[in-house]
Amino acid sequence: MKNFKKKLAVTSLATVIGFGGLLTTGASAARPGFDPHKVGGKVIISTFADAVRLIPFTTNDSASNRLEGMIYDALLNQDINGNVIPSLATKWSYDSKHLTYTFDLRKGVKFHDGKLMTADDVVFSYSMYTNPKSINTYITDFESIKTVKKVNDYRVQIVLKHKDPLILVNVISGAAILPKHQFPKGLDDYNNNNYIHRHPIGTGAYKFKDWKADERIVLEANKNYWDGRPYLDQVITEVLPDSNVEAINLLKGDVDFVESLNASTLPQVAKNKNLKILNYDQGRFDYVGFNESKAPWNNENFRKGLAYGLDRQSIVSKIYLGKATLSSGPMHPKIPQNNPSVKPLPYDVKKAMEYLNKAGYTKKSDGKLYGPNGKPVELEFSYNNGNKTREKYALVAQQDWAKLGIKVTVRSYEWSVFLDKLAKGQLDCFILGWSGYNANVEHSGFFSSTALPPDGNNNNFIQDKNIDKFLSDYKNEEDRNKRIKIYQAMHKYMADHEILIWSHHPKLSAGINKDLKGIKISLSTAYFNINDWYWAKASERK
Amino acid sequence: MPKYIIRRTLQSIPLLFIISIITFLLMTLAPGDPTAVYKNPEGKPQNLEMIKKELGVDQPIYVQYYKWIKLLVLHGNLGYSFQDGRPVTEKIMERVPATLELMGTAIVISILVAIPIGVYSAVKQYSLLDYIFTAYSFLGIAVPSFFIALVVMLVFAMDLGWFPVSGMRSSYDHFNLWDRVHHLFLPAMTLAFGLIASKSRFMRSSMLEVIKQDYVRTARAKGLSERKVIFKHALRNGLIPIITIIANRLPDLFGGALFIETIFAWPGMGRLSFSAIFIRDYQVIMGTTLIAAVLVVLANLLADILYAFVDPRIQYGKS
Repeated sequence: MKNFKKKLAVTSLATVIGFGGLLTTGASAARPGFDPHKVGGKVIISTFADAVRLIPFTTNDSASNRLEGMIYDALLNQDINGNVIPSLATKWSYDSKHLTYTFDLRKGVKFHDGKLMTADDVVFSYSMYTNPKSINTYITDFESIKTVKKVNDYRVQIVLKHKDPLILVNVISGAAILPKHQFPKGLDDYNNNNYIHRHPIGTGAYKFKDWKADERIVLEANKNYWDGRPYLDQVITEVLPDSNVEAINLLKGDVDFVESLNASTLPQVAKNKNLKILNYDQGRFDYVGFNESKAPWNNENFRKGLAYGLDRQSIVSKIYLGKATLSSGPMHPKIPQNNPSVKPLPYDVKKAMEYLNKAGYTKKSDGKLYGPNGKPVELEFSYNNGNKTREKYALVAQQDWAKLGIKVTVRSYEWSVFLDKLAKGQLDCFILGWSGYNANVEHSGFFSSTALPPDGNNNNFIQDKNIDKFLSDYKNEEDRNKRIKIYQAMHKYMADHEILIWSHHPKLSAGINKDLKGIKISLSTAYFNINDWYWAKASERK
Repeated sequence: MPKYIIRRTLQSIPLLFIISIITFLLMTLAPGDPTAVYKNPEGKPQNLEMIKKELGVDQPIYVQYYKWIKLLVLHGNLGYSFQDGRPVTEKIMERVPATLELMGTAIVISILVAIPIGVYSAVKQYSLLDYIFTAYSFLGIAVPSFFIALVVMLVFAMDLGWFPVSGMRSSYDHFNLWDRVHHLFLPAMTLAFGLIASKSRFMRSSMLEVIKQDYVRTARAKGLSERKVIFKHALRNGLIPIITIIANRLPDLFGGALFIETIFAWPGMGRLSFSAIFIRDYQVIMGTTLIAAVLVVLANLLADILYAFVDPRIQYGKS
């Protein structure tokens, strides 16, 4: 399964959302390149918060998503570049006249309890996800599905209500196939059965073994996995709620893999001979947001003035210690939708003043910037409490914008209060990130005028007809290359109009035991190929 | 005495009722939305409405409270967690043993160490050791526990490697006493460090007061040995105020220690309450608060009963 989820980046540490990816497919029992000598051993990874429940889509926390990605398979999967590849379905075809997808299921795939996976399980799983009474938090993603029909034991059809070219990447390669026989009461079990929620059974590469609340969750290799067993015998997830403690555990060798180290612990990890640091990109953009339906932010020139007046280059080099790239829009440079001709705005106080003047703002002799209403401009810059990086960011904005004559007050809110104020459009301006996308990015939930709060996540209250058109054209375009062109054009449009103050794309640094090999990290998950992770030394494979 | 206990218990019922109403109001009126964690970019109104309905938070506050208290009074049920749908009682019971283990050890150690320190400091007031204990107390009270936790972790777990860094155990399949004690040592000592500091100060001042009393002087004048004077006459009276201090800590036995549990990855009540507050899991917050309130009431009652036991002058139920 892939990154079904996009999410606000809560802190700079616990952000990577998305399903652990699964592997490229192979027809026989072992995947191509499988090396039996690499088999064995256990790996200990860490999470900030315990998983909530391990039945797909009943929750959207990152620990649950990560584990579900290892326990379950979907009909399709995605490779590291986001291309759709077979998984539980070996072949599929599309009949555009009848809006029907037909999937041929892989034969002989068994659930962890030994029962065969058939078309009934597929029909059942989709009926759980699409039932209007389902607690599936992503139910609206399934909106275009009309029916899911069994043709025979190994063939299913998904009939759509309307054209939805993104359904393969955004739904079918994310929706896990559940074992029907484990849910005797159907939806009631899916929604409410605590035993099932905490004893998941899938077809995936790892089987659930043990869960001790707020301590650890143990998965073990599914030795009968249809794509060949994973190299590791066990993946143990330890719940370590403090990032310093996480680092100490890594340094002491009690944890083998920490997805994201915090900057202050990096030097110590770097010095340790048993560890290595892996810097990687994640599909994420950070921005300075605001309520764009209100003054002064509804004025494009004002937005540009503030963007030119914010020294993001020094933010990247001083706060992120170079571990971020400047951004020019909501497209990560590593995805094809990124428009390479669009460049980030430089830091230029003179230009900033020009745009502010154009917007009707003037700096008077008292050093203050006065707006068209004759009052000095004062802003409150918010961030979520406890996030040190964002706190520093806010302080830089305060200093930089003071040079423009703007008085900035820095304010932090506890996360749920922050979200509340954000959705109500009550925050003056704020620093935030959006993560979990890859080459199948779909931004309408964030930028479309149909996704305004409280129901959608267009928390910047962007209502722009051109953007709406880009977004809906993209969703309806069947040709992938044309789709990409549409988003590239949107990227340029969003940069030209500085729809938000585009800031940067942060990179993450994983801390890894140096003997742990074969790790590949995708834009949407650090556990993309955990089936192929292996221990270099025989002693560690025991 | 039994009459007194019954009366006090009955009196506590309206008190707990009021506490539950205030908690519920404060919690629901505070900003933040329990469904915020369920939101996703493609979410649409119907979806969130459904979840709100499922959780019951679409209803007015008084209806929500009525449902909660009805379930509690009629069925003894603390409700179901918003986060994962599990019974609150089950979630709490899962945490109680871990917290009891940690807090129980810390409190017992702190009592065993603080009382002798307090007595010594009082008897040998202004001695070198008294100054050292005083300095320690200031340090123990002033330095936040999470800082001490990180320091001991770095020194004893990381550099010296004597103890595990975090967690409650490494043997999950069967109970291994040594493994548990090994894991327990650092967090329990970190907690005890602060507790000893404050308790020994109380003990010291309480003893100082008693030592200056007439009956102690009389005891000395009778020619009793200093040992007998201190331990038989002074200590028993000196302990009375300490009983309240100790009894007031008893609710922590269940409530846990938020920072220490978080830093040492200890799977106790402190972490349960903290995460519940963070994600606005009203049901779990109500459950943990109510239990804490019951324990405070009980601890106070216990303190009063113990008072009568150690001080014959105090009698209840007779006017």
